[in-house]
Amino acid sequence: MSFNPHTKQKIIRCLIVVFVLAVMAGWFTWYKFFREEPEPVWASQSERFKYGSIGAEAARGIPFYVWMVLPRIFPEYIPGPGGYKAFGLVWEEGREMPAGFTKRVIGFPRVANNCAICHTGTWRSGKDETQHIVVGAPSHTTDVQGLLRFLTKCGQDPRFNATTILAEIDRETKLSLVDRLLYRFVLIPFTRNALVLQEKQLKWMNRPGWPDWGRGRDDPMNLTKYFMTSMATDNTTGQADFPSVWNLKIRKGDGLYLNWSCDTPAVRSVLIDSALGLGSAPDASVPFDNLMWSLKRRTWFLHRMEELDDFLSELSPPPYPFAIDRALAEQGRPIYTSQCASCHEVGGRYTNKPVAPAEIGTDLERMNTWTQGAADEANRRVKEMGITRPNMVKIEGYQSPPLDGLWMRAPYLHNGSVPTLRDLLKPARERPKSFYRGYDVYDPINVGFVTEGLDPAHNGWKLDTAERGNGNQGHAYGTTLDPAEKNALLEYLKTL
Amino acid sequence: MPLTASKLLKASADELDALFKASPPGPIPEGEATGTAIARAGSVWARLFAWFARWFLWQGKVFDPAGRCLRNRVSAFSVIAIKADVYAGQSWLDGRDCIVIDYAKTSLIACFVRDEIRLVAPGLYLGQVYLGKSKKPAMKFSVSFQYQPARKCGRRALAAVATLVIVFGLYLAVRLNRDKPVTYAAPVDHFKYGSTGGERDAGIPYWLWKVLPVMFPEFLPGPGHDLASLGFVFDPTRPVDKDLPVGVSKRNVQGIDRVFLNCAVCHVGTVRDAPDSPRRIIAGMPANTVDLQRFERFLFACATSEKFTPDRIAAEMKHIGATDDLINRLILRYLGIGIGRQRLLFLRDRFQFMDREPDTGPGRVDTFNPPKVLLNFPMDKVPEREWVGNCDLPSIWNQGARKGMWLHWDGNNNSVEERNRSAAFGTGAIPPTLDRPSIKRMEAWLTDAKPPVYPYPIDRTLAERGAPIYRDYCARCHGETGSDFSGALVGEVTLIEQIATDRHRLDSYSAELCVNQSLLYAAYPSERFSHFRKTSGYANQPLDGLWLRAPYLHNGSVPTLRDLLNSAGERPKVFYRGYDVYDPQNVGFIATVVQESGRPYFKFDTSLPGNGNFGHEGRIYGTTLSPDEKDALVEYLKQF
Repeated sequence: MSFNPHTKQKIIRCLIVVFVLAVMAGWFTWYKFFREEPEPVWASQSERFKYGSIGAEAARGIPFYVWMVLPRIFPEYIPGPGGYKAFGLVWEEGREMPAGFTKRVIGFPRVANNCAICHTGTWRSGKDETQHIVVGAPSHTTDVQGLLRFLTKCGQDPRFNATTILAEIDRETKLSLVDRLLYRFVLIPFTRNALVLQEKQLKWMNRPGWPDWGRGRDDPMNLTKYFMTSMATDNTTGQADFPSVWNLKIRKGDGLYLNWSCDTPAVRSVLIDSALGLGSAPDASVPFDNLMWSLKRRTWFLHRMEELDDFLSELSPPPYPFAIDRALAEQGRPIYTSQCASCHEVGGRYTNKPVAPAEIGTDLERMNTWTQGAADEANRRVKEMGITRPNMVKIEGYQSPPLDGLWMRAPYLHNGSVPTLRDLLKPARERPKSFYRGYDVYDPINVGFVTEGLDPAHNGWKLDTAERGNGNQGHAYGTTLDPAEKNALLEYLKTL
Repeated sequence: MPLTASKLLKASADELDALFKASPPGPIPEGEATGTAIARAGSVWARLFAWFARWFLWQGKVFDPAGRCLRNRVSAFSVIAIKADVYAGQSWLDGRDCIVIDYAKTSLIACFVRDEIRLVAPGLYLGQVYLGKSKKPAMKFSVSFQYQPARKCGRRALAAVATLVIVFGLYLAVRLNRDKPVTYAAPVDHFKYGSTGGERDAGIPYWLWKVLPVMFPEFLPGPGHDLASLGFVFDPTRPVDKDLPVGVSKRNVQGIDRVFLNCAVCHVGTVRDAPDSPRRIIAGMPANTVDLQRFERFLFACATSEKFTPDRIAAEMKHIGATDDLINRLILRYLGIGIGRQRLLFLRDRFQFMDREPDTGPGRVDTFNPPKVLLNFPMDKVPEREWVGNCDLPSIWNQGARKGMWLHWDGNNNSVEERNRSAAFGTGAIPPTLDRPSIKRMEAWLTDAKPPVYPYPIDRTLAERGAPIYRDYCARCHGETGSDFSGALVGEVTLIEQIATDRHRLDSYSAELCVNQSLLYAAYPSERFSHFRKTSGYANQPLDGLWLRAPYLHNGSVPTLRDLLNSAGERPKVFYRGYDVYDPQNVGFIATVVQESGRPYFKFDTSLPGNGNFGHEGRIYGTTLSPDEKDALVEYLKQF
């Protein structure tokens, strides 16, 4: 087949036009949706831990301006005045984002989370005193479940529409016509769909009568099961306290485990799996996301995990900030050595290792949320993403952690069901049946946070130990010491 | 088939040039011909352009061989205009004969144009157009005397309408993008009357502003039932817009004159020597007469009234001589009034928190509950201890010397610029509408503005005796003098337990609000709020222009300086605010006047929440000095 020269010329011209248009459209798409602006230079590794990206913006980033105005449009879905702060987030004065929230331009400014949302805590010495922020501490004030519910409720509300949201954004910035159209026809509808989908994925935690996570806790293994492996919903619930993540070097070694019920045998695996759960994983429902992941994000991600591992391994636990009676503490040392060290001292026989449920006697629900099947499935998924890491396992028992920075890790036990160390040294029946979590004024007498009174009630969340998964029984060690010995032991524990 | 104009339109430029070169010049024609413009010959664009030109620009020519000239038929209306000389000459294309159409001497608009035509078919001339001195034709055209189908009668009307629509559309586009503030040459006038940009979003149409007091006198206190009765200050020396009070600026936005508040509404006050003396209007001093809360309630009451309808307002506007043109009248009537009413009702709902705190009265505002409303905090869930945020308006002289100090009564911010942007929210200026150059001018004035010198007699010997007392008791927190702000604790926060003044204002500013303010101006990174903090006390302030800053303490609960040197039990429990006649004896405004020729003043009750007049007392605060020492100290402070 041959064309006459004139037709041929026309076809070539058409092809050139189509090609140029395609290049322009491609560039536009890249610029508006995929162009990555570099992160700011962080003043320190701590700053980066609190505010730096772990790669979750690409797949799970909410458009910044939408994120910014949601609390103003839907205040009735927030537990109190204060926008996102009302969820107990750690938010330093003068900082644009709360700790654990990252802002990054990938085509457009997006907001996602990083490790600090669950692992940066605060304390104050009194109601009107300065708030101190401790990197790596459990975020004992943060209501992650409340935050998730807030976002999904917004997504389901008919007011989550372009007109309402753009009207509010217009009070903050002048969007260009192109951006305005993108927000109206792409970003806002996409965000809405994503939130509606997320609501479906979170139905399991919203079952009527189901125990709430409350402040400073989540249901980690069910989150892993239903998000990472999309397994069918089962009947387990495993509320667990956020752990501290400093000083990880003492948790590394052959035969040592992490997670409350020894679900993972290596620090790196915990970091990787947690970050994937926060949205660093590629998401097939986001256009081109798998492609971008295998092209460049995976390499960046694994490198970032390595850096985090290095940082957290060396991060020091915070020293106890109040006065310690050194003489009394010295009296407590031998008690610690005889009563606690074999399970909690670094290198101890059971430290970082499983203790059988019959022995420890604490609430079983958390342990029962995880199965070998779930572990296999999670391992398979991670492998699919092209990541090699030590595999998750299923072990019957609870992990016995080292006690570094113990004072800042209240409330205690894996489910955070015992408010203070002093309470933990009491027999289960004498421990508080219910108390308020999430208030950050410290109680140096009992070693833990203040859990009773008007302010904790106003700012906190009430944990009821009668609820499923919240049992405060078990770990009866040291409960039979006499009061003087307990005081000495408590004083010693402050030095850890 | 002979050549026609439409066939020429399909030919390429080379084909047309060849045809032109091969054709004779032909005779100079006579009468009306239909023209077709040919640009980008041979392409799709040629037909599109010819169509557009025929409809809107050029329809043909009228030849007048006797006058050796022609005129064009221009625009959709076929106006006969733009004359050209017509003569036989040589073509610039091939040097051979052609008919030249020369605009050089005949037309101002087209003097740079030269056309050449040759007869390419019976009754059809092909033309080349040269622009300027270039010998290369810029485009081509044809003029045809051939039979043309009868004109479709709608075309001209349609074209006319289309032209009108386009012209009107362009006019509207220009008009609706208008954004022009009334400007003032003198920096102090700019501060008093200039715009912060707030009118762009929050502006009240000028004629609506004018008509409201006339229509709704029942919502204004007497006498006069005008804005002056709310304590607004009218300045006869204002260069323009004398009918607007100090602190109200004007800007034309979208073709409509709009007015709104600026900084001066809270930071310009008045002083009289005696009830019958003229008012001195003093820029930078705390507004002491204007009752902004009452003004807000006035607006809310208007919007709630059944009289607030477009029809009635339009009628009243006409009655008071509104000079808006038809377009603005239509916009206001069918859009503006309704939107205005909606926004006022919206604000009324959001500002309901005002009803659970005592009235501010003149010269005071609740500073940090409005930002919560701005962020749409659920105000019903705000804890009770935050409810009352009423405090006195501050002076704003010498801002340059305050750089780095902790500002606001509770010292929650140490950036002057950020504090200013924060305050600008009160003038309706939000991040996208803030008029940055204008704010810069105001800031420049604030940097060096000085308070006026105390105008009444000072007993110098007595004042001399006060100097060492000041140095011993006050200087560490309040500065060496009224102009030298050095002192270990100046601009620092004194803990509430120590200062022991009313803590409502401190508590009204919450840690939750503080961190949420960090998101304000986030779209403008260099302006984002990053200096706010939650404190546990009140900031120690320099005392420049102290005599004009009465009543005293952060909540304006102590009428005079002399009273402030007494212990709380001896300070007036009830007094009146809003009266501006000065009391040189006690240093402050006379606070016992209940009303003046029918105008009631505001009864300030120190027993109400947030109004407590206690604190700043005890030995270190000078309340245990002897009466003589107190008199000496007060005399000394008059020089500040």
